[in-house]
Amino acid sequence: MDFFVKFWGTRGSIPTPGHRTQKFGGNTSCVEMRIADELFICDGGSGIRELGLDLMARGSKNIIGHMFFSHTHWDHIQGFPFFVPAYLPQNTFHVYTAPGGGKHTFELLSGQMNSDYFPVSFSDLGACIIPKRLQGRETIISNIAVASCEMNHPGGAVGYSFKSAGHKVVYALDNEIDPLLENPAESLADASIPRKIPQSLVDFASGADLLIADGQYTDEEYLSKAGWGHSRATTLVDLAICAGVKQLAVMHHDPLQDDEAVSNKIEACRKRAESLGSEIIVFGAREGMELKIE
Amino acid sequence: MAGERDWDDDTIPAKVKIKPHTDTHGRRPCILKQTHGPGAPQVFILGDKSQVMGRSAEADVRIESGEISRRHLLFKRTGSEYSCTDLNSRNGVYLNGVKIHSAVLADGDSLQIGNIILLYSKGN
Repeated sequence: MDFFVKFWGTRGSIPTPGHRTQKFGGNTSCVEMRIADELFICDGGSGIRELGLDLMARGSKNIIGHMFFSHTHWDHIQGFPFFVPAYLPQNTFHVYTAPGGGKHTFELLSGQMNSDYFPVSFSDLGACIIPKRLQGRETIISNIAVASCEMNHPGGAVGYSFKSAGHKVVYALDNEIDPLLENPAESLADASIPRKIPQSLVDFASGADLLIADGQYTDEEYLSKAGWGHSRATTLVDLAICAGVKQLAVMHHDPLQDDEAVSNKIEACRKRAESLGSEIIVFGAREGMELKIE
Repeated sequence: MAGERDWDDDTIPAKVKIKPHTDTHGRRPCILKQTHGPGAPQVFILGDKSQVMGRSAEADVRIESGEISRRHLLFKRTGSEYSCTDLNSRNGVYLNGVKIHSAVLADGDSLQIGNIILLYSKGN
């Protein structure tokens, strides 16, 4: 069973186009997964516009997709009104909300297409857009097991895991892990010591072939941005090692980071992995990069 | 002065002839510099058409190495960008050390296929 992951938007907070961000890209969060011909889309940041155009170019007569939103802050939904396949009546999109209470993602997604914000109404979208809610610990969608986990972010956010035929990919964006550590003060005072990751996060990411996670800040940047809902990239290394992850994709790059700064951030993560005695593969998620999970 | 005369002496043949990779309009094309593996060092110019790299005689860019597949990877131009796609090769394609299926290339990227290492240089 083929399992592909493609990055269409990797930037956090706000689209950051320009020559300074050409390598890692300036579009906000959007990741496509194709698992045995089923289409899964994580987040609808500005990167989803390009994904939509690419889906059209592939020539499918009927596009059926399953959409998962980490939350509905602008940088995760702002591309949806420009997602061309949503305008065509032959297409169907299932929009999922995590189990439990809270407003349905569908309502919040449609709210941004109110005429005060956008000229085309949500009701004018031609595709069949179906609101759905994940059930219990794990929901099976076309033989793919999808689970969710609450993230630590102002207003709340949700991470998702996708399991199929012995493979697992975790999408965990907008998640500030550092205050949840069992040794938060010590790990801030001395960044070199191992960070004690909460067991719930370790369990959620456990054994993943690929962990895509929010590593917006460098250690230095985080000191003035604690509480904004994003992690130190280096903290992800500790999580990935504890959870036995094979590959870590650091995503949600800060808009102030140019390509060189993102590269330096990733290099710091690699050095941390090395210092912790791990050979885990760490890379910076970049637009247009596609991996085959095997 | 003697020093200036030596410096200006055009009777000394140049040992190195530098030929810049530019077209008739002075544009510099995107290139791949092979730094390691059989045939290195050499330079491949990426053109407008899609190009298959492999060890097959039919490959557009042929590299004779037992560690690369007959049709190993595809380079494709979209606008001003080039992407590469693994053609289900045996040993895979590594971009800056990460195994990929496909990627849009950026200036300075390193591609490894088998024992071949290529450095991508974006033109203008």
